[in-house]
Amino acid sequence: MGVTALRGDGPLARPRFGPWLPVPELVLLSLGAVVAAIPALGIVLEAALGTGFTVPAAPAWVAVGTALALLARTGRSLPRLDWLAPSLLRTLEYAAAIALLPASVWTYLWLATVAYHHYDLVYRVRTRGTPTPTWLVQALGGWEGRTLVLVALAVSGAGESVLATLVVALAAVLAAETLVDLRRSAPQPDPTDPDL
Amino acid sequence: MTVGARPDLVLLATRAAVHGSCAALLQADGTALLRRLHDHLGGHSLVRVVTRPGWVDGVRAALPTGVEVVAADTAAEVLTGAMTGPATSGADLLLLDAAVVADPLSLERIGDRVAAGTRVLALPGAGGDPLDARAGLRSTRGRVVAAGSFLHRSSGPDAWHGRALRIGAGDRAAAAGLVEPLSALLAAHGDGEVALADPIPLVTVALVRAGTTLAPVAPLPGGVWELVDTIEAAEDAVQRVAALDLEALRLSAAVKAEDGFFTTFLVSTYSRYLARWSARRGFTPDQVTAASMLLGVLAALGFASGQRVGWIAGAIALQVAFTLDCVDGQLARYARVSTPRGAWLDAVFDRGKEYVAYLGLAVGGIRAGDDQGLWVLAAAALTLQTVRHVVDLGYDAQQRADAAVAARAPLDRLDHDPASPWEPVSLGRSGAAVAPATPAAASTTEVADPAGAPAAGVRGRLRAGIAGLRRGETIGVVRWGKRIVVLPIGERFALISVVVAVASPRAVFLWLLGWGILAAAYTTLGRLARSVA
Repeated sequence: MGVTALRGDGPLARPRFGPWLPVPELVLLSLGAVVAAIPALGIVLEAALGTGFTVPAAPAWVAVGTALALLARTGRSLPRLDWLAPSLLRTLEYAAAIALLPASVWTYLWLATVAYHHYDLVYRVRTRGTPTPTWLVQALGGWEGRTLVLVALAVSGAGESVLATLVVALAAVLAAETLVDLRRSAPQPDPTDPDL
Repeated sequence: MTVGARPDLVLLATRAAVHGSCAALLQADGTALLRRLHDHLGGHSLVRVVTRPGWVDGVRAALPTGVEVVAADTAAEVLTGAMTGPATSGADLLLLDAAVVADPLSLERIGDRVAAGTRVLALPGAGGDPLDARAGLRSTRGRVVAAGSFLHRSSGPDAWHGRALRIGAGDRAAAAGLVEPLSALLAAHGDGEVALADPIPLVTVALVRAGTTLAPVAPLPGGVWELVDTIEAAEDAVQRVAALDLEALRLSAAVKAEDGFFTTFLVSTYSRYLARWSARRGFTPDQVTAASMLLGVLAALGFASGQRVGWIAGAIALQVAFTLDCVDGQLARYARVSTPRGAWLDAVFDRGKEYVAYLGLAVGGIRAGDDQGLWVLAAAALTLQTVRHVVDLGYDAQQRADAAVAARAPLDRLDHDPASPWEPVSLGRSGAAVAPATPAAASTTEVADPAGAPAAGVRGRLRAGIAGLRRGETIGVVRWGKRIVVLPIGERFALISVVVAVASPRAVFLWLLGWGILAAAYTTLGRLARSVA
């Protein structure tokens, strides 16, 4: 299993162009993750220590960070540091949710649902040898699709009910696919085995 | 998917004992070694023995009727007899040198249904190759990346070949295709006595270099796995097998070797007995996993109560859940009922328990009067932990991918001139190869392991620093200290329980975030240094 499978790229981030830019992919990606995470950093510091900061136009920071991370796909690859990319993408996506969604149980459930998908990306191929199907990763939008949805949500001022609907929809797709897949891979007794 | 069938078994009885007779026919306790292996492994749908023409009658006499015996005069014929021919559909192929004396649990580790897949028995331990110093194995992240034979040298071996090789059902066709290039190689370099007596390392080299994923399997710790060539050695080994307390060894082997401090000393010490009890009561690992998850949910409900008594009850429930979480894996290893699906459930529910606990903590904290900002802390704690995991998993995935590339090499790239005398290599204490102090051997080791060459400048200093840290690992305090610093799951769950019981959910999140950031910085910087060094 390569590191690429851990990225969880959606339809926008999947194609890799170039390399067109002389800048390494990882540099642009790090930059994007940092830019997107700055509003969340202020919010977390405020919640933890009471001395945070508020940046104006948080959705713009996240959008620019996402754009940089997408632009990174046209940069040079640094093969020895490929392993950092998935953690930077997670930082970007999760920080975007903290920055753009209200402090509520639905935000936490959104993150928990996305985290389930991300762990499944690793554990399924590692323990069962079958990768999470590409159609599922794409259908869930990938890290970039979900982050852009959060930006749209924040800009449009949609209420918590929209977020709740999204969480339920995401969780339903994941649960259904998991159940079907587990049923398919349920162990069956070996008919030729004299012990059973 | 089936649980997996027993492998087709091919016993190789081509090795000669010291006095020239067939080593597999040496008798201990009145039974030929070949027969002992055959009976211990039992229940195979296909068993074939490959031996030399002169030994066919002896081999036939030692085995029950119906076992196919193939006579082979050359190594190429041995390979043909072992790897081609009829196969049970969907079954693996187990190649085993019949002069091996091993305890039944070690044999199980490579020979039973659960062990399905392509694997090789790797003997760890200091000292020279107990056989002839020609078949080292080197592994990275659970994959053999270099193997040796009498023609090929394994660079930096960390184990010796136990002369047992299991070829997964999916790799059998490709492995059969290696017989031809191997035969050609042997034809070019003299199809001598060594190849005829000891062909398994050659097949292993061919598989590794062709890019096959080959997992090393250790014999049971404290068990017996030995290749013998005298009657005295055979009797001695068989007696040592008989003297083993297999039940105790099986139980201690069920405990994971590389685990955190809290898990190793405060949970696994008693959870193994729970695992045995569960096995005797007939519980399955999946049932234990489910019970553990259920307790995790109960713990979260306790945390969500917003009452001190609920927090304490939740803290206790979380610890019981964690104990059961260790029990499921130990039970699976102890009873040898591991399934890929069970491993997936276990991994996912581990994460599930933790994040459900965070949810309960946030609800309970707010009910006890904390503000909505607690959701931000819960979300931040989840984010940090997820990112920490993916740093580990991503690094591991990259190491595996690199190992797969490093393993590939042409079969006819020989690292050793078969005409010159062999310089034995022994394993160092840490598992790295130590070459004897003769100049010839020292130079071959350097060529074989370019990563060991010194480098100047920043990289050189980085490497020296990493080597220094590795040396520190041999000191117990340093090793356990490093494992605690990274806040593994046992320590994390203990931290959650203690802090919520005596303080508050908010305090739990602050501890998780503070310690987690230090741990993340420590591991990430260490790996960055290793990646660029």
